[in-house]
Amino acid sequence: MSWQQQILRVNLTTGNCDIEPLNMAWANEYLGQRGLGSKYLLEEMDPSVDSLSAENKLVIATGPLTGTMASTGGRWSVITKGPLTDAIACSNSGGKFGAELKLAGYDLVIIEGKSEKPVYLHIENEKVELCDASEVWGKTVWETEGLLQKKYSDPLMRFASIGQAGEDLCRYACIVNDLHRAAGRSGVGAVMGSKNLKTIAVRGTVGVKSANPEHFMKTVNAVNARMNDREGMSRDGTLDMIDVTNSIGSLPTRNNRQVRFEGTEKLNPSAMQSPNENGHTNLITNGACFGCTIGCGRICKIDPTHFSVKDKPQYHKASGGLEYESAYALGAACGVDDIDAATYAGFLCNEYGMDPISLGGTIAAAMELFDIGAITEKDTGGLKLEFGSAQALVTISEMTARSEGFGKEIAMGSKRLTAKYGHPELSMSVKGQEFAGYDGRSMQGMGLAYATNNRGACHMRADPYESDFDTTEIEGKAAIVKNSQDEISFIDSSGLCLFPGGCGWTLSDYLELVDGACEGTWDMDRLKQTGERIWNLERQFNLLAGLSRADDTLPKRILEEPAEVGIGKGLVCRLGEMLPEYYELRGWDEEGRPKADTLARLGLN
Amino acid sequence: MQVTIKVFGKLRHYMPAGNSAGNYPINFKLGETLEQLLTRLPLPKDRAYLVLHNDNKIDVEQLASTAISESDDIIVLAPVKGG
Repeated sequence: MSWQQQILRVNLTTGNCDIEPLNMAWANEYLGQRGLGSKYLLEEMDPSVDSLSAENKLVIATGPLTGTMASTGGRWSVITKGPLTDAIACSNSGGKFGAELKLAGYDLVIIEGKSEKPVYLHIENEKVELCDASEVWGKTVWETEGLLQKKYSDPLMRFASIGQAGEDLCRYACIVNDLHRAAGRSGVGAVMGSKNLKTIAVRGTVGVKSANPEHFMKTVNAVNARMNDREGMSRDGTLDMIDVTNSIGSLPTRNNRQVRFEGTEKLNPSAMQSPNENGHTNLITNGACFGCTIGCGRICKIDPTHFSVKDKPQYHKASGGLEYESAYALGAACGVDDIDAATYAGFLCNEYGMDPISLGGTIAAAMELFDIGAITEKDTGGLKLEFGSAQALVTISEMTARSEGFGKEIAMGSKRLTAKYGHPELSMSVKGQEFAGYDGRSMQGMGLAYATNNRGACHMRADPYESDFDTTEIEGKAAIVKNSQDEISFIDSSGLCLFPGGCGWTLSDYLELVDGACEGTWDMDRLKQTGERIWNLERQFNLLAGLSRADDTLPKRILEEPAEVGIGKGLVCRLGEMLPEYYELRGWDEEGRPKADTLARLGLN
Repeated sequence: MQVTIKVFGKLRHYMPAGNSAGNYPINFKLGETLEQLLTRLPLPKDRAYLVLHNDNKIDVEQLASTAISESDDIIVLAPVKGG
């Protein structure tokens, strides 16, 4: 089997680090990663606790296929109560850290309590220790990794760290691993910071065993052969999407005032891959996570003559560049068409540990507040926070990363920021989490997916894409969203990435890999029921945390202001019509609470 | 007569090199339909495309009845999933 069958429990209050057996009954019901981590969290913690208190727990979770030979088998997740949303948070990352943790012998690491002083967690197989972090506290993610890499002199050691944003409790601080991959959303890095935990450093040589290695490898090879449509993703990355959403009128622009951005041709894959007027090309190469045969990551360089980095040679090297979501949030959402400025803001996100989607979404909200006069240069410390200003984007990103001046306000996230300045309707968020790069008017299914997602607005927890590109009619959308949410819950619990699904794999391919790696029989019915169980468990967490039907909604702009162009021209999101059908399909009552028979069917009562 | 077609996404790489902006001028005769025009593009025939004509999505069955003119805005896309 591919579970390590053990967890590591780290109590930061007492300093105890204990290895415990994995609850295999739960593993068989929740698979791993997102599902299993959520199960542990709900079993062990009162969901009503303050997300930034010592009572909140941080679960670092791998899946059964993490660290195996399966393509994209490097995924890991952080499950906790999110400071941005006060809902369950599950933030998924790639890179090499997750596989290394699994290779060290652990399915999960449960971190609880709070350390009196800054510490980091050092794991080398069964050797586990909490170490004084005073030498790296206050340092960036990049500095931290460099210092610890030097200290241990082991190039294969992997790190997951917070930057100053996490230390300063930025509500959307992330945990960055391998320099530029991140458990990005919902503020999981702030939870780590609140516990005075700077880094998890891990080296593993235990390996991952399979019950039937020969059979498993045959499965891996057969499934790999079916990933036959990956060329576009390797070449253009997720940024490919920007021309699609812009064309159909679903690229949120200037805080969703518009749905099409006139500067898209300066941010798209062609712009990234073509020399600028100085002969500089942004894209250097692509990058891949552990075991990945796609390589969607962008490795980019900023033009060294660009104003953002002109006197900063530390930013002249290649690092993680713009993906679709960061190009949308740090570009179109702010009305900025300067690819180098957006790339620089993205570098800051990796360096200081911030979610680029929420950073961009919050800056966009602030720009609209500035535009309507709700905030002025007096509030911003003299900064003209105008839509379209690359200089403003760069400056406010630096201020937020370093928790300086008005940057402290931006670090609250758009929900808290807009409420403070009297315009909560200008936060383009759900449950406090900023929108991804899709507009719920032209993509009605995405609107429903945003509204119902357990961790707030997110584009990775449902798959209405094909349907939404096909039609703006809402018939059938509730079922598509519900069913894909369940399927993705399963994939997110396996240790695999979602992107093979856009490169040739079907759900059956994921299932075949899980069945090949795990004990027992995994068929399609079990897959779907496992996913549905996970979704409902997350919902239970949120209900116990105090969320309700009222949180399954969208900003007024999306519900009442029709889109002006594109396939959604003249439309608002018809959430009110889709939501009751969605609840019914889920087996929930009118208030969005799972009915007793639904809970019983899923073993959740 | 000539109309410019925009080809985005994965499909861009099936088009002739040297046009990084995704704009492809193509000659057509009066009375030709969108279907006839698209057939002449060097794109794989076994894919589902999203076709936008003057900001309207055109279903497959509408292609043969959609007339074109020089000022038209035509976009051909291969939708991808986000991330």
